Amino acid sequence: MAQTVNGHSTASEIQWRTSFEGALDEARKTGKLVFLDFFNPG
Amino acid sequence: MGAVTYPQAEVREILERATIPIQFDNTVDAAQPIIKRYHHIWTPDLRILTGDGDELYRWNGYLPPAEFAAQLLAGLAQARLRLRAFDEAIALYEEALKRFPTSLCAPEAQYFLAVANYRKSGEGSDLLKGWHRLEGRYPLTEWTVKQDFK
Repeated sequence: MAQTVNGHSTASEIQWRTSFEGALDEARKTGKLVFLDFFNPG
Repeated sequence: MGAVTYPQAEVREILERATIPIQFDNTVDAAQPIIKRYHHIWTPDLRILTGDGDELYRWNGYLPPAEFAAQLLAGLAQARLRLRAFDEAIALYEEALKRFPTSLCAPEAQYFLAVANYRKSGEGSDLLKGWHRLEGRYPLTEWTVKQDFK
């Protein structure tokens, strides 16, 4: 659970999910939207 | 993006508040089914999806933190607008315009804030009032051209 100060997160890193289906399921349960980032490490 | 934009607190806060974030390395075999599903072709490639996987907004390309945060708010607002969650869309567009009034996507946010207010109220005056504000604040943008038929 991220800590918050005045309602703003103080987490040092974004908690990227690792399972696509898990992310969709979490979005359905929380009412949030999924943010999908395709990246190239090069 | 990972080195400059994502570490910034304003970006992290919006992502954590409003989204379930997930990344795919487009060089990894395991990512290929998702790459094909969303017809990915170029990075950075950012999408906003429903919990059913339907895409509601997308953009390509690197943005520095403040521009990214503004674009993310406008994208989330557009997603909520498409879902007809008008109050949420209005709040997100207003946040984008209040926090990032000179951002590159501010004209888009002003354009669709007017649309969201109109869709909520059904009053044409809400649309025209918002678009007049767009013309006044951002006179030389594509979004000003796009409302110029009125």
